[in-house]
Amino acid sequence: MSATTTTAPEVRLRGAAVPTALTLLVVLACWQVAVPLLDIPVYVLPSPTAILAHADWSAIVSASGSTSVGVVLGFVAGNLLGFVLAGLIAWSAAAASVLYPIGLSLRSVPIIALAPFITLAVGRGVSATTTVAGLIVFFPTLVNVLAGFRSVEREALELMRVLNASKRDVFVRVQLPAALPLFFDALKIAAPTSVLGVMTAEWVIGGHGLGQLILTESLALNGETMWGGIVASAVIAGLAFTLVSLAERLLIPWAGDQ
Amino acid sequence: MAGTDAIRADAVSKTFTIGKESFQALGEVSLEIPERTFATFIGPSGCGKSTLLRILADVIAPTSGEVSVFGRSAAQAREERDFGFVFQDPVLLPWRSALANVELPMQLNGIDKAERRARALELLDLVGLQGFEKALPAKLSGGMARRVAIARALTLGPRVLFLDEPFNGLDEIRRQNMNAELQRIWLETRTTTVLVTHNVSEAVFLSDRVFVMGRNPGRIMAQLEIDLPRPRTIETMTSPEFVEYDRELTALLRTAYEDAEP
Ligand SMILES: Nc1ncnc2c1ncn2[C@@H]1O[C@H](COP(=O)(O)OP(=O)(O)O)[C@@H](O)[C@H]1O
Ligand SMILES: [Mg+2]
Repeated sequence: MSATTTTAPEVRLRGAAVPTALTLLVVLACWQVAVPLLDIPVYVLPSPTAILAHADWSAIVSASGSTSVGVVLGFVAGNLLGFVLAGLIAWSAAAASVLYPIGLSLRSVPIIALAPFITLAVGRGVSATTTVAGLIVFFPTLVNVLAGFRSVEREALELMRVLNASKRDVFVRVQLPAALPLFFDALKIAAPTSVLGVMTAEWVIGGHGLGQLILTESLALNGETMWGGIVASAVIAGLAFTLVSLAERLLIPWAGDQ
Repeated sequence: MAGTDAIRADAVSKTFTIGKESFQALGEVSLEIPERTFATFIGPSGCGKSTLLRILADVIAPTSGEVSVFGRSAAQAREERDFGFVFQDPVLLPWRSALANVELPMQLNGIDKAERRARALELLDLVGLQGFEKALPAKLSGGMARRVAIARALTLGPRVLFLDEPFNGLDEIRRQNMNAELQRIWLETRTTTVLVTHNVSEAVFLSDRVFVMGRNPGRIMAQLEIDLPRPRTIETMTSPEFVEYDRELTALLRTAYEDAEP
């Protein structure tokens, strides 16, 4: 028995894909049947086939593009910031005493309350939505990664001491890898959160993304396109989450077997 | 087993302070362990065996007293990487294969990749793990993980090997097999070894010198030389001499336990 018996990531994904697809089909079917049965007005909830046939898909695709850019940039920026700050805090007590209170106070401000300020500072559009998404995902990542750095057992640190390892070696060879599972947990939380952040910002600040589209289409009582936008946002969030999970399985296969 | 002392502890004590509470884990402990000796600490749990081992290896500092290792301070010896240490928990890095875990000390020491790979393979062989080089720790049984930890502790050719209950939790037969294997490795390397255990026959089987420890505060209550020919075998364990040592050590340990109960 050699150790290379782990299931390949694709195989495991495919295994989960079948029940997921089935569930989705059942939900769609119920939806399709329920709308005419309950006589729901089309501007509130059109049936899936009506959405498919009558939504303004070119507008939805273009809005999805704009939203995705904000999601990706905000996701990267916020997580990078959270990771680096957690690293600095774990590395040096001095950095911790300065940075942690700053992080905490930033946390206690509802980010969306900063929207007017953010618009003044970076302008409207993608720069603003990116900033909001980044700020929203940053703190949970900071907390998780910090917990990761601190999750190293005492005996592992004692082992490094017996080996007369430098502080840098302890950090790079023990603390950093030990933090990765919790970092990926944070990324999985951050993926849908950053979609939420971007869309909320679009709603409040404006721009060309899905948040704005859903708002205007609902006001115009255009249920099909509004629902098309909602479905598109769910797809973006799901896709982001799936990509992170896939990256996790590829990059830290050892963590799944704990 | 005459010759110079590998380890000398002089009136070593340890008091832990947590907040306003302080607790004396070790009274004044003095001991000598000659070079190339297999020495063992045995005693009731909580009597400070692990603490004493950590102090000898300069993992933690004593509150008072001194430790010298081959004539230098324990700190100097540690900085010169004289020590191999196997903790009660194998503490393998879960993202590293068995081989990469064994390579770790050499990697920290700047030994080049080809050389450390060769040496690590040799050591995995020595502990009987050929074929498991690529296995991640999660795929190893408890006994295999402990053997990886032992191989890792041997990589830099330590002058002193510390083993803190390395076979705890293994069933009796596995423990005996591991003991036989450890004795074989020890006979090959003759590294001065300090073992912590609370298993009497393990202590007799492996040791040249056994220190019986007691509690409140932790201290050495008795010292017993085991003068049995090596290699010791399963047959040795049924010999009258072995049985007598076992009985004697059990009696000493019983006193240590009785003393420890309030
Ligand atoms: N880092 C520590 N802080 C506080 N108390 C400790 C610490 N390490 C050990 N102790 C205490 O010291 C005593 C001896 O512990 P230990 O050396 O682990 O005993 P043993 O290995 O013989 O079971 C125990 O009562 C334990 O709770
Ligand atoms: Mg112990």
